[in-house]
Formats: sequence, structure tokens, C-alpha cells
Amino acid sequence: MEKLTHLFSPITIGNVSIRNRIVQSAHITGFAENGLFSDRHVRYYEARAKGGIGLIITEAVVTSPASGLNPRVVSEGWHNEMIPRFQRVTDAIHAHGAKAFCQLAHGGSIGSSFFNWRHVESSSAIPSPGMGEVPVALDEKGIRRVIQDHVDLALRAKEGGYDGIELHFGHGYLHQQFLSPLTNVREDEYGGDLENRMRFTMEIIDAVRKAVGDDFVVGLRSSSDELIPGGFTLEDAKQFIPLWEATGKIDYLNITVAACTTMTYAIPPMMVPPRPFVYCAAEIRQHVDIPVFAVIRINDPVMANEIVKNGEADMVIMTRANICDPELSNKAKEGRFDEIRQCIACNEGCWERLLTHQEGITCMQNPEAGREDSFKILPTQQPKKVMVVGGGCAGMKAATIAKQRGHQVSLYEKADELGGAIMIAANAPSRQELSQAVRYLTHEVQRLGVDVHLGKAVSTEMVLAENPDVLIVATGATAISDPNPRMVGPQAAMDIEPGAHVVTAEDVLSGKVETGQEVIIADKQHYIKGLMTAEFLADQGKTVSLVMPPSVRYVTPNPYDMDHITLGVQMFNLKTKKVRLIADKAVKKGLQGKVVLQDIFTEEQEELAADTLVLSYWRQSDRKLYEELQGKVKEIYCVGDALSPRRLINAIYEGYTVAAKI
Amino acid sequence: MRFTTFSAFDPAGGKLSEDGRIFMPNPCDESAVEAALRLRDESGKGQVTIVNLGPHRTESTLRWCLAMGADRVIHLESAAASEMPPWTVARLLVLAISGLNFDLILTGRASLDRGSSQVGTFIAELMGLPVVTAVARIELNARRSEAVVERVLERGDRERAVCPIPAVFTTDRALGRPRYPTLPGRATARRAKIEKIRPEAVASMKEVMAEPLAMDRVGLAPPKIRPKKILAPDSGLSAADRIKFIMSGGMGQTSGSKVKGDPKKMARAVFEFLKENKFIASDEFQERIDGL
Repeated sequence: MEKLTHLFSPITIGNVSIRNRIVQSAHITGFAENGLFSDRHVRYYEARAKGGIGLIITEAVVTSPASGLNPRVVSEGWHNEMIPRFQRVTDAIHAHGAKAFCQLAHGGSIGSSFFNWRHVESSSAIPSPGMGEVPVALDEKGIRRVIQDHVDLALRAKEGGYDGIELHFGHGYLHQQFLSPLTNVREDEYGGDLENRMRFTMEIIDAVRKAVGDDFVVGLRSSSDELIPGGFTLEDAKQFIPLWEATGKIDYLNITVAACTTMTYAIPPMMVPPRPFVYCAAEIRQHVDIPVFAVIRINDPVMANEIVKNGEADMVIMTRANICDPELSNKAKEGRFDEIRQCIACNEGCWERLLTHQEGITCMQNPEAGREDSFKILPTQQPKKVMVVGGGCAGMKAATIAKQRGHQVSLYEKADELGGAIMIAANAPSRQELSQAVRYLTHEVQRLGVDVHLGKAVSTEMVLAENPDVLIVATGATAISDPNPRMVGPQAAMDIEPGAHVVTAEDVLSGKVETGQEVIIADKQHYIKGLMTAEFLADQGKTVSLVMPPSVRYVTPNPYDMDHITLGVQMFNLKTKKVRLIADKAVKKGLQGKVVLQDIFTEEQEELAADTLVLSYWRQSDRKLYEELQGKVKEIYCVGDALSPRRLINAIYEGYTVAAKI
Repeated sequence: MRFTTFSAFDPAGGKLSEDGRIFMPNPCDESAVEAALRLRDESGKGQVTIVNLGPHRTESTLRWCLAMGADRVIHLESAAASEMPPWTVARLLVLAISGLNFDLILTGRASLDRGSSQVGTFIAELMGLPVVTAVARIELNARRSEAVVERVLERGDRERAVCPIPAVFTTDRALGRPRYPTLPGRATARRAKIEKIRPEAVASMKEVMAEPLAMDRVGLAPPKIRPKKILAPDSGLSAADRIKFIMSGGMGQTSGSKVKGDPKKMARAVFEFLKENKFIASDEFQERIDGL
């Protein structure tokens, strides 16, 4: 058994000793109540501290009202009522042996008057690209006030039981807006040369350190590469970051990347390789003497151990990894690596819910995340004979949770291996990590001793002969290959001429078909399938045109209802790979050698040459078993795509919730 | 400023660990011995005396020096020797040689353990002698009143200096490989007597060892591990290129042309490629290809 001695060696930062090198960094959760920490925060952090993590940096708390956004999403630090709420959080974290730092933040021009009707403030009156609202440039009085806000919040954090604070000077927020010449065009002593541009942050460091004293950790988070044209690079960061260290008032450095428009790389989706920016922390570490934290898409404790062992960083931040599996640290320490449910950076449960929909976070693989109070696996009082039909993720989740609760569970899968439809999606470029969800569930199935029957298609007769107490139908869905009006409705229907080469996206991704050179993808679903199929074919050297679905909402031109971060990166990929994107049109006819497109507004038609038409519709539930056995089994449930074809997050959620209550 | 790399650090004791180390003569000191022997042999007269402060185990090195041809060896034997700071080492050595007659004091430029490079210079200071460090070549004049020396600078540069004798020179290994002792030499050395002084038993030396130092050692710590070469995009690339580098995991896209089709078509295409890139002469095989 491999022992991760470096990852689990303790470290002292300032005056705080931390039991291991694993950190969860500050990430907004959407659990706030009127801008204040809530019980949901307490339960969430408690679970991770109990899971063995060394250090938790709780979510960003903004220092000033101008930085307030949705009070359910962004916690507000100027209320004294935060102090007892801080105390409940820090007590819970400390009770399980972990340490707690509070992050102080201020978005600056990355803000909006939408929620609290206040104007936005920044270094200069330059709106941040993408947010659009013109800020008020802080005057001398405003700067004094913002610095005082930092001091006040730092003192509240100290009084609330934190072991230290982290000053968030990165991610393109207010402090980086002063630092960067792209956003700071001031002509007073806070703008101009580097010393002037750093003055604001230096004054904050001085004031905060003076207020909290020497016996309290003050850390600093900074971007090391803005990743934008004309922005600062790692070479620049190697010059200015050590200047903060040289004040002698900072106890550690948390090194990240990005400015406002490139934040997609700071919380990157699956298609960004793991640990992409650890080199930034490693290089900064060679120039400073205080501990350095590495972050971004580090999901594997063995990888984290290597980072510490190689001297790349002193602490390793594994945030989403801990959302997905709060017990990660305990499992890694005990060498139970295969039992770790590894984050795959799908962003569906966390960032998509929070950033796109302003909802509290959960996790695609871990329905308990964010619901620690209400979602618990309790042993059953009445063990039942449970039959689960379908060995995809919904079926496996149901089977494993039911078994864990003490039921007698058998799982049937008609294919020769477990996994289900997500394994088709896992063929898409950079989506292989989807199979990690399958790996974990398969391991749990084996670990828990679920009775598995592979290569077994289940009929109604078989079910009746088995006579289970509970039947859970998780038979999934299939691709729609015939786009006739009875199947897909008149609006989405297409006429297919005999002899036209028409295939499904599923067939393409499974490698079952070979397309011609000119490919048109008719994308009728609003999730990721068409985008991934387009990239898959472009990688094969095909000339690909993607006919995008119509916009989801009347007022937005965005046709895809998915995680914005994944969408952003995927659009970058499609652009780089020269996929042609066609908007506001629909494929009406698939003919030999061409397709007919119709404009969704003007109804004008045009022909496009195509060797192959790829259909990317939604899917069709396979509910036969469920419908036939209604009323014939004591308890019958339908979960996942068999109920309605949706996403993996729904499949796992339903498998969990059904099994948790039977 | 960052110093040194040794693997012999024992974090528990905060000092250099001697466990598992193989002890060898310091090549710089060996070059000092060699320099002394050469000067004696070239001039045909003189005596080479070796003085060492060290624990018992250095005796084998001292016998090796005798085998090389040294005339006399004085061993200040002390188990505490490896923990003594350079100033103390220098003072003890000076006490040991104060009665001796000499033209030159030679010592290695730096030791292998802490490598402070201070002992030779301290000796010169204590004895009021001129000192030249990092010497790679010594030419004494006939009267032995002065020497022309070459010093090792960085990157292969040398500096020449003239120094009056008597003096202290610290030697660099560039001075030359120490001679290999002869078999008879080694036999004699085995039987020879090494003069021993125990510093703890000599009042003046004991006093020196008990003196508090004007300098405090604040700490001894191993160097920060330099990470292995990590894949990183060049900061000079454009932002988009840096992002592409990260997204590709550092692998470049190799663009190649794929040829598909029947074997004859593929053969022709490959042939054209070979011709274009001058792997074959343009008229070689042309007839055969045209015949396809």
C-alpha cells in the first residue's frame, strides 16, 4: 500500500499547525442566507473537516457593499451578525481537527447593481469585459474606506474564531484591477508605475496586519498569469509577487491564474488537463521563502503527494475533489485509493448551478454535497429483496445505496459490462473522465457485494418469477435515429430520403459508423452531445458544420443550456478546430449528398452539401419493463433515463433518492 | 542567497549526519599535499609536514599521505573535530604549527563537509601571513623569497599573482592529480609513526575549544528542493498560445498529410513526397512509378 507521506506531513503556517497538506480553497457555495453564513455552510464544512482535510478556507466574503451581488450567493462581511455565524462554522471545522481561514474579497468592476442597486467601484471607470457595468473610480476617501472595510472584516473573522485570513488579490477582482495597467489608468499615486499600482494592496496588507497582530495568519492569493493579451504573465508575477512577501507581513501565498474573462481556466472543465497551472506555484516558490499553495484541477491525492514531494508547492488545494468526496483525505491516508470518488470537473453540480442559475452547489457524483443535513444513508429497519434492472449509473447508484442500507440487492445488466450510456459519451474528446463515475460505482458494487448478473436481459416473466419486494427500473434510453413527426414532434421532424447517409451522434461516438468527408450535425438537443460529436469528427479530419438548436430562452442567443465554463472552453476548441457553427437554422430534409436548411425566423430554405447527416436529438426512454409491471410488483420505481432522458446528474440523484427511502 | 547542496543533513539533530557516509580525502587537500611534494621534489630539498585536525578515522588518509611521500605527519586527534567551526579549527592548527619552521603553508581551498573555505585564510590572519586562495599553480623562485601563483577564477579563467614567501596558499583541485603511492611507500607508511596530539589534553588548545564564539550559528537547513523540470509555456508566447499549450497538455499538434485510397495512388503519393524532400533523386524509380 502506498503511503502518501509528503501529503500527510504536518506543516506550520505562521503560528498555525495544520495536520496535512490538503486544502479546500474559498469557493462560493450559494448557501448564504441574506448574505450571511448559514447552517448549510456549517454542515458542509463540517463534513469535509470530518473527512480529514487539513485546512478549509471558507467561501469569499466581500468586504464592501459595492461588491455585493445575489445575497444567496455572495456572503457579505460588513455585518456584525456574521461573527456568531463565523463562530459556528469555525467551531464545526475545529471540532474535527481541521483549521479554518476566512477569505476576504472585493469584486471591484466584476459586480453589478442588479441585486442591491448600489453602483460598482473599481480603480478606474473601465467596465470589466463581460460584466458591462461602468464602475465609479475610487477616490482617496473611497480607498480609505475600502481599506478600513478590510480591517473590519479581518477583525470580525478573528473574533469569529478563524485561525487566519486570506486576502484575495487575484482572479481579476478589485485588487488586480489596481495592479493591472489594463484596468488602472489612474494618474494619482495609485496608478502609473508598478510601485504605485501595488500601493493599494500594500496599504491593505499594512492595515490588516497592524489590526490583527502577529499571532494571526494573513495569507495572500494572487493570479500569476492573466492569460489575456497584454495582461501580466508569470515572468511579471515573479517580479511583483515577491514584493508582497518582502513586507514580512504575509504568512503564505496561494498562487492561481486568470483575469475576469479567463476565469474559465481557474475553475476549468474536464477538457483542461489535470494540474495545468501547478508550474506557476512551483516557479513562484523558488523566489519566496514562505509556504506556497498550488491549485486548479488537482483531483488525485497521489498527484497531490507528488506535488509536495517534488517541491512544487507546500500545500495542495483540492476543492472540487472535496466537494465530490468529503472523505477523500481519510481514504487517501488509509490507502483506500480505489474508494475515492474522484472529481471529473464536469462542473454540472457545482459551477453550473451556481454561476448559471445562482443555486446552491451540489455534485454530479455526490448528491449529499450541499445537502449534508437532509441526505443521509440510514440503515433500513426492514430489509427487502431489491431487484435493479439496468447497470448504468442510475441502476448502480440505486443498487449500491440500497445494499449499503442493508437490503438484499441484485443488479441485472444486459450488456457484458456495467456502465450504460455514459460510456458512449466518454468516447468524446477529453470526456474520458466520465468513465470515472462508472469506475467508482462499479468498485462500490463489488466492494459492497451486490449480486451482479451481466449479459442478462430482463423480461417481465423473469421479474415475476424473482418476485422482488422492490423493482427499480433503470433501463435507460436509446438514440433517436428516425426523426419522424410522431417520434420528435412536427417542429423537429426531418424528411429523410432513402439512400441518404444519416447516422446518430451515438453511432459516431461509439465508432460504429464512418462518416463521409462533409458532415452536417443537426443538433436538436441543448446539452453537450452535438458539440462533442463535432469535435470528435473534426479530430478525424472531417469538414464539420454544426447546426445549433434554437435558443433556449426568448431573450438570449445562447442555444446551449449547460455549464458556461465548459461551453466557453468547448467553443474555443471548436473554433480552433475550424468547425463551422450555424445558428438560427434547422435541418428539414436529409437527401443524398445534401441537406435542406430552413431559417427559423424567415422560413427561407437553402441547400448545403453533405456526405453524412448526423442526428443529435434527445433520447428515447426504454420504459417497457416499467409500464408492463405497473401494479404487478409490490414496490416499483423508475429512475434515470428510463424515466426521462436527462443527464448523469439526474440519474445518480434519482438512484440515490429512491434507494435512500425504500 | 542560497548555498550548497549536501545530502548529509540530519534534520533531527540539526547537524550534518555521518550515517551512511563514505569518508574520503578531500580532493582539495590532496592537491595541497601534491603541491607540497612537487615543490620539494623539483627543488631537491625541503620537507613536507602534514598537519591534520580530525577524528580517529582520518588516520588512514594520513597514512596515505605518508605513502605519497610526506616526511612527517602530525595528527591533532579529536572526536569533536567535525563539529568545530572554522575559526576554532584554524586556531588549533596554528597552535600546533607555531613551533615549526616553514616557507609555505598549503591547505585545501574548501572542505567537503561544510565547505566554508575559511580555515586557510584564518590561519594566514592569525599568523600575519599573506594568503592567496584557489591556487592552481605555484612557481617558487630560486631564493624562495617569492612565488608566482595562478588562481582559478570562474569559467576557466585564471589570474596570476606574485606573492612574497612565507605565505599561505589554499589549493584548488585544478592544481593536479595527486600522485598514486608506490607499494614500497605504502608499506613504509603502514609502519611509520604518526605524531599524535590530543587537543583536549593541551591547556592552550583546551582554552581555545572552550572559548565562546563571536558568531552564532542561527541554523542549518537543507536547501529547498528544486522541482524537476516542469512543463510550462513560455511567457513570451501570446495569451492564446499559452492557453493552447496548457490545453494540449504540452503536446504539439503535428500536422501531416494522410493519403488514402488504392495502393497505387498511395504509392504515387509517397513517391512524390520522397522526391520533394530529396530522399530520392528525382529520376530514380520514375519509370517504375509511371508504369503503375
